[in-house]
Amino acid sequence: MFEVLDDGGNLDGYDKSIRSMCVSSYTDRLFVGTETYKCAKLLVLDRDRETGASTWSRADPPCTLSISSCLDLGNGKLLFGGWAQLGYDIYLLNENDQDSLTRINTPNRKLLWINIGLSDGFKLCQHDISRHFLPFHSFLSFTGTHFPGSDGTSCFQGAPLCGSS
Amino acid sequence: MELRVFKEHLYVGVLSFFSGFALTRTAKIDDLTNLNMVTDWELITGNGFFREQREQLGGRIAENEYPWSSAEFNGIYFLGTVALTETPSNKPEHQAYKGRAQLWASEDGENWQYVFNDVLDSGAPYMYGYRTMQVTSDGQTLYIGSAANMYIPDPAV
Repeated sequence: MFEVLDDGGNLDGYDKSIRSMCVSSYTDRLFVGTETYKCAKLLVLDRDRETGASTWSRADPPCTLSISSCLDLGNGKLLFGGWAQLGYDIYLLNENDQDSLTRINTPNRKLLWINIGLSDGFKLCQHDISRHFLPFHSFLSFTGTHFPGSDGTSCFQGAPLCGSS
Repeated sequence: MELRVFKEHLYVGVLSFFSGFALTRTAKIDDLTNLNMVTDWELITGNGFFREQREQLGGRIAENEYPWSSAEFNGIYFLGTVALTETPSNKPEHQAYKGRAQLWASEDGENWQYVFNDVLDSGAPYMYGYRTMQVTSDGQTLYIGSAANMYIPDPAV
């Protein structure tokens, strides 16, 4: 039998999907990362197997668009990967320290993502948008603004949200 | 983003729409909160296995924008890509692989081999990504789920 979990009032209209889930092998708690139109949430479900009682808590990282990945490392340590504008962050969660989050230093986070050396936002003109994105808009959504380019083409500035990344 | 622990390294794979995905790794898996972002990370590829494609396939056929899924199976790290953009190539030997996602494998996480497989290489056209992988608990079977572009008509219909 399936049941719909009560989210404890933690989810709202900005959360567009449950993007990632991991169960801690250390505590058997469920970690749920959302993808969002605002700031993604990291929910923690602690469920009593005997009574079925559920307790939700939050371990949200700094504002990120999607908590798209997680990995249980064991011994109460889990990794969570989040997408931010023009980059990514990875946090180490420590269950032995009240679910504290520590951002780990990853290499050149912006350049790894776009790899072309534009660090202060990026601008794509119509040719690039078509080439890279339009055929695949079914799983991409965008934040940002369209504006006319200097050459008269329609441009887009912002960041793609990688709904399926 | 792909996160995986394989043979005492943490691997992080991130997308790039412009150059192909990046795959990096660190051996300091027990000291993740004290990583040096320059010296503690090793870049395996920064361009979606461009060099490996050139060496093994005779040219870059796919940009491999995402590292979309991965699994460890029989001591081998399997990584499936998303290939959204074809790299122009008119070589006859490339035609069968154009517009297709790629499956790569490595025994050490550093040296990667394209997985040639008749089933995979002759499967559904427009199969742009290996979306998910799971290994059975007895370690005997690797399941791979793929994605095809729903907006392209099925040529078989």
